[in-house]
Amino acid sequence: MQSVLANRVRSGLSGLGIVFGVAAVVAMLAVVEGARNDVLERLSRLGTNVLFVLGKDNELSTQRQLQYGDALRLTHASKLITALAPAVIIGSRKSETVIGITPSYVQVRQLTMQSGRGLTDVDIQTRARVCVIGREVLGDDGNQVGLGDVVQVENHIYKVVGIIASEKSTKDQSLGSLIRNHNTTILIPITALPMDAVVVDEAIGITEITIRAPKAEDLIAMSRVVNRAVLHGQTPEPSVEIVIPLQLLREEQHAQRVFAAVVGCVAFIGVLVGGIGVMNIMLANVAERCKEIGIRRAIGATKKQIAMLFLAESILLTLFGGVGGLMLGVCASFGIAHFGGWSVAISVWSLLLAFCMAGLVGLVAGWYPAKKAAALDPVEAMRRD
Amino acid sequence: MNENPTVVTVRNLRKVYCETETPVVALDKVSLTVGRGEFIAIVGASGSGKSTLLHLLGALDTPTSGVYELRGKNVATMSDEELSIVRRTEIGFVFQIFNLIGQLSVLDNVSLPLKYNGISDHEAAIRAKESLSRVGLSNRTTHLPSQLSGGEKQRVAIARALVIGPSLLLADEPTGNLDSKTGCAILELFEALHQEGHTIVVVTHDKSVAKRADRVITIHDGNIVPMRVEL
Repeated sequence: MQSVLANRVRSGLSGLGIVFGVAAVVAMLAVVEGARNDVLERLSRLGTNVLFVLGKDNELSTQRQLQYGDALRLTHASKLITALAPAVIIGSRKSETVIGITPSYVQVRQLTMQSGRGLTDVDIQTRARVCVIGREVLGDDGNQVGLGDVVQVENHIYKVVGIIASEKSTKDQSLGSLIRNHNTTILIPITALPMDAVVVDEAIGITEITIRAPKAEDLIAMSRVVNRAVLHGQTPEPSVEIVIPLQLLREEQHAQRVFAAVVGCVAFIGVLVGGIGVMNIMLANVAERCKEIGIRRAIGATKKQIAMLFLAESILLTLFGGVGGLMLGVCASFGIAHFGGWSVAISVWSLLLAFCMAGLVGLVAGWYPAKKAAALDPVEAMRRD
Repeated sequence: MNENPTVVTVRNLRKVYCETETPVVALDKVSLTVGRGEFIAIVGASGSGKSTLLHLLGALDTPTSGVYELRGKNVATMSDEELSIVRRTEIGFVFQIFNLIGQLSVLDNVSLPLKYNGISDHEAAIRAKESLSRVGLSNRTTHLPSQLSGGEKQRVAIARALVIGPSLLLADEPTGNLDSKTGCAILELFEALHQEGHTIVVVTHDKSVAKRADRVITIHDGNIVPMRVEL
């Protein structure tokens, strides 16, 4: 302790590498954590474990539109698929979106019913003209529509059987229509679309299938299952695109990842240089205090006690550097958030990790000098000046 | 309590330094005993091997061959860690150039051997103060060694040697760096310690030191000169 304080300038300079290294680690973790939180925040409504199968326009004559039958086939395709919701977006009625759904939609989209009931299998089987609506759906008279009222979609009348609890509106554009605001939707049975031409259920053209996997980690495996079940072995095959929102956002965060990698390198170099600096100063320290080591040995210190003395000093030095690094790192993180517009998140564990890393560098860098100090012969060491 | 009145038994002690191409025999066939409460002076020309003997007696080094028993324990065959433990429990060492640690206060210097013995800071401070008051320096505890005179430094060193209650007090030219008046005062302190029953071995050039000893051992070319030197 005394010797660290006695050589303030020298200790400060050698600790500088540790300061920058630790600061870089803090900033790197803050950006990575911030990016992760950003994804979670933006996917908070959907969840991270969601995959979409989206119908596309036919490009080839051998292709056909995505159909309700494809969704039914997927239901039994794999154990990974725990919940699945086909939907057909019919278009707007005034400012509202009309969507044909099956009962699982409410669960898969994680909607909460405020009053009434959701759609049931019976509604699907009987092609019931019923609907579940968002809080902001207005009737023709401009008043809010309630349970038991009716809404008109094109030429058909649907009775309101349930109302969805209000959702916070989202401003996120990057996922487009995938994250929709259900406050202004009218959900009707997929078998009771407001169309005059009646087709068999399996042939109903649909817009999307939302599939939920048990965990986000299963999404890639699941997309393969979907590919096999929906696309292959069918003529004509449906024209679809598989979208994993989590992946989309992750790709969007490429810049953050590159930044984190660069800062990670800076951190590594900083810590390495800092560690070498600390080892250097500790070696100088051992050389300078040779006589003191000899005296301590002569009055009964064991080799281990001498080694611990210098190891503790080395760790103390890097921990001082670590404290400085934490402060600089927190400032740098806020700077990145302010000037770079990225979201950053500083967690306690990241600070702890960076601090422990500083201590570890002290341990590693101090090891050799401490060993050298302990190995000195007491008589020889006392004779030196 | 140890019933054996002999503190030190040395038989056929030999020390050879092999660091250079030609081995240097520093000590050969040295045998001596030191009884409890004895005050012995070791004299000899520089290079005669008397410092080597003192280092061996002080468990700072191990002999090439021979027996060194300190209160019945064979120090000659001890490991480095065991030697450290002997140094901090049995031996008080006083050096010519004081060898205090400059960054530590007087009190910390004196209590350091106790701390290496695992004694609590509080207990160590109490015992260090007692030891300092024994050498007449109880008013200097917070000073740094650099703020003390030579005589005071040597008193601190003696207090440090005494603090562990050593069974053997060793001194290497304790007056060599002091003027004659201060040196005399230090010698009086050694004599007083002798009166109190401490076992003391002093290496010296100084005849006035040797005069106060019970016994004088002369070393020449690594051997004890077999006659008693009358001074």
